[in-house]
Amino acid sequence: MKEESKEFTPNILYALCSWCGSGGSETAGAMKLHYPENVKPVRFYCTGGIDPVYIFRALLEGADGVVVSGCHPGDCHFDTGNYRARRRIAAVKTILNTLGLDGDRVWLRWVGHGEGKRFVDTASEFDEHIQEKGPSPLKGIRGV
Amino acid sequence: MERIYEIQMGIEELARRALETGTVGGVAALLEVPETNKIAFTLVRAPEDVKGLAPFSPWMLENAARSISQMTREAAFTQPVAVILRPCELRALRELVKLKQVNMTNLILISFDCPGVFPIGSRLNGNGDLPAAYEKAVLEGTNCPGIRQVCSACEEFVPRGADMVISLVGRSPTDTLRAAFPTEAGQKFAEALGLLAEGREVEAGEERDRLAGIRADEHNALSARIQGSLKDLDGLVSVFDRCISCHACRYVCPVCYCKDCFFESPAFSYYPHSLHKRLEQSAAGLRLPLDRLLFHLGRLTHMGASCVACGMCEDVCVAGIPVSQIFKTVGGDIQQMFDYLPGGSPDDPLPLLTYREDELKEMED
Amino acid sequence: MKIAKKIPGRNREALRGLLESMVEKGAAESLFAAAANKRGDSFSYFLMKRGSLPDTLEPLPPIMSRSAAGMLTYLTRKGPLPGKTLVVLRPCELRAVTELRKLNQIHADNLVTVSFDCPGVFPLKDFFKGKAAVLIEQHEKALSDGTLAGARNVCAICAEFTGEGADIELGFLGVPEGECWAVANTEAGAQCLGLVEGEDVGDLSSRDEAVQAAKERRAVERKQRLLAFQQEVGGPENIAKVLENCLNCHNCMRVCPICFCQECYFESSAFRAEADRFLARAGRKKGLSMPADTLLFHLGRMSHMSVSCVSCGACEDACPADVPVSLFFSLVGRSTQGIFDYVPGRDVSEPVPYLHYEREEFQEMEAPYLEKRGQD
Repeated sequence: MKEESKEFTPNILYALCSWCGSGGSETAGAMKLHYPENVKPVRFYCTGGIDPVYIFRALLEGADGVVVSGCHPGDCHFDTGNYRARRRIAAVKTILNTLGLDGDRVWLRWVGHGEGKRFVDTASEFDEHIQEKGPSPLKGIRGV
Repeated sequence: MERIYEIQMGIEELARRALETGTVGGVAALLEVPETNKIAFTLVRAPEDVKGLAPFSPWMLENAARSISQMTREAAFTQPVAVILRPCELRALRELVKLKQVNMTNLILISFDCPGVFPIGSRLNGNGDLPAAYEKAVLEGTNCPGIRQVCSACEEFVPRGADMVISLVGRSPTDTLRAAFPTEAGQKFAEALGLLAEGREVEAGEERDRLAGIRADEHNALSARIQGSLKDLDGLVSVFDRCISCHACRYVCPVCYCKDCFFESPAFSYYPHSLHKRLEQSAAGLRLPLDRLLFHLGRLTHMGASCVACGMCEDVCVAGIPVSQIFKTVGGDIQQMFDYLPGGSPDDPLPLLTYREDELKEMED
Repeated sequence: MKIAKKIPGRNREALRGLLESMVEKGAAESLFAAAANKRGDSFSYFLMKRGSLPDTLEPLPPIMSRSAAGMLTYLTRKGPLPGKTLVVLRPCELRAVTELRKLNQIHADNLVTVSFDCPGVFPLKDFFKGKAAVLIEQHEKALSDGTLAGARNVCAICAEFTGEGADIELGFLGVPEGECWAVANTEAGAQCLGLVEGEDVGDLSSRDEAVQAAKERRAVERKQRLLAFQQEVGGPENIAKVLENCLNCHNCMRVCPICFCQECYFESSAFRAEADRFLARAGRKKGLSMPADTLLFHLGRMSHMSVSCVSCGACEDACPADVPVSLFFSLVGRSTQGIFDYVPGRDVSEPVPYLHYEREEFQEMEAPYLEKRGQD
């Protein structure tokens, strides 16, 4: 379980596709595995449907980090949506890094339907990763 | 005679107190963001965030009626929010109410007699001596050199329909605030903040009258100038000659609220063979995109009756076309014909949404 | 075999002569090129027909009022032009046309493209403030030198300034005074160029060398300028600073040739919300500057179109607030194009990165999973 006395509890968005990503979270539930409560899952039909703007918008409006999970390559419910997602996330990270906005606040990791442990591990690991980084400066920029 | 109250605090303090006491749940006004040089119409919720509030600063980066429309079009505020607007913004807001683009519920309208604003361009080139000259002009009730052309010719610089009206012309920035509370909502607001202690009945200062006189003369001069340049088709084509058809003027216009503008609709997306037909009929070739003049003329008919002459269109025109002066002049003619003042009485229906059976006979042949 | 001909006349005179003579000889039924507007102190693109080319024809204007690629989208989105049309494009416009063909916004059948060694153009606002005749003369000189003092930000660091992708390419650099060289790069170009008189250019090497040297110099300048700009804008505070004057008017998007969407996401109902939600945001953000979502708009637009950004500078010309939009997008485009090893406008058969994928790529963008922890 998480420590109670943490100074900073990050606000984390976990974008999951409806098939494998969400499936992983369901398996985790069936296995009674826990993940940090500050990690908030959001379901998308397919990771290929995640427009980069959604990620930017989350980061600007209050998320300290965004992690995306969908089907492993080759397993996409729509055949190729995850490949498209990977290209878009590559672009998101590149844009953030180019502008000194820290692309490492965005993670992509595939999680299969049966991978409950991988799902909670990813949530916890990303939570710790963002805790180390501290609050995202992006959400605090005034005037833009 | 309206009763004017002396208020022993600045506008920032007033906003802070309104938020602290819970009289309002939010304040929206021009604000200078402390970390950058940004000035923007800003919605503030927390008392400590009012720092930098500058509703009288001589810039207008957008007509705030647009933003209030964006905020309230879907659903109104559920608690009172005070908005500080220039008179032209307030007029645009009141037009947008008629057009069902603004929900006024819970808005407390604060305005002031407006000395005008500088074009956005002069802000980009460094402000220089502008603030000092501006203060002097406000104190004396004259037009500060360099303000927008439509501002210097604006006769509607005293707000109508505001809940709180602050006197600015004839005052110095270091003077105490003076304000009237002409409406019931305004009275309640003032009472809640304890602003009604020191009041007296006063006449508008002579500075305001002086400015009104100057503005009337400037207005005549501007109309004559624009009518001169537009006197025939040749003039019209020349005035809009540099237009790059970017439609920025429409986009920043507070009255142009349409989500899908006719001039960007499929009506103007031509088939290549129809373009070629037009090409065959034209002597000098087709200037692209087509319909440049139609756009401006069409926009005049769509929103000319409601044009509040705020000047945003001209400020964003990279081709330097005197758009707002043209719209003020031609729109003014339309408004005069219908005896209509945009943003005036809420009871006056929009001219193009009403009619009388016995009118405008002189327009018939 | 490449056809290359000597075209007599000073730069803009030569190009005008070449176009007129090609059209006259039946190379095309119509001509798409810039011409002076009524008052003569500004320029637009015109579609003109054979037999009545206007005297105002000015295929090398010193400004770019709008991107020609956007105008070609306007003309051909619904289908190809019915007759053969000669199209004069700046190199950046030509690249944008290639991108728009991939995006199914331009039907290029019947188009024969003509491009040239472009020295860049003046910022629109500077030109409108200045003396047209003087600036046009400066621009004419720059056509031979390849360097235009006072050019727009992106023009000054443009390393792709030749018309090599066009059917017909006009060379001004490294060419003897008083003539220019027209080179047909394709069969379609050769057919048109074959119709006009002109001595063959035997040896193209003087131009090749001049172009090569200028390209190398520009490439270095581009890299340096963009890296310096990156230092300037990097980090949250600096970005807020760069965008402090932005009015969020979206005019950059509206004139961008690549931003072809009829309904822009940033003008969609995704940005509508109840008043109380705006108030909640205002609390969270310590004051909500309106119109809101300025940074989101720019970041989002970068994610949508920077892979195809051709650095044409139309955005910055149309910005009423002098935001260095074109540098901003060139900088980010350099990175996003870099990861996909993509050069917008290079080749029409090269797919747009977002419409394509490889099964094995970008593994480095995935967060590696090391199964290290036990169950909590």
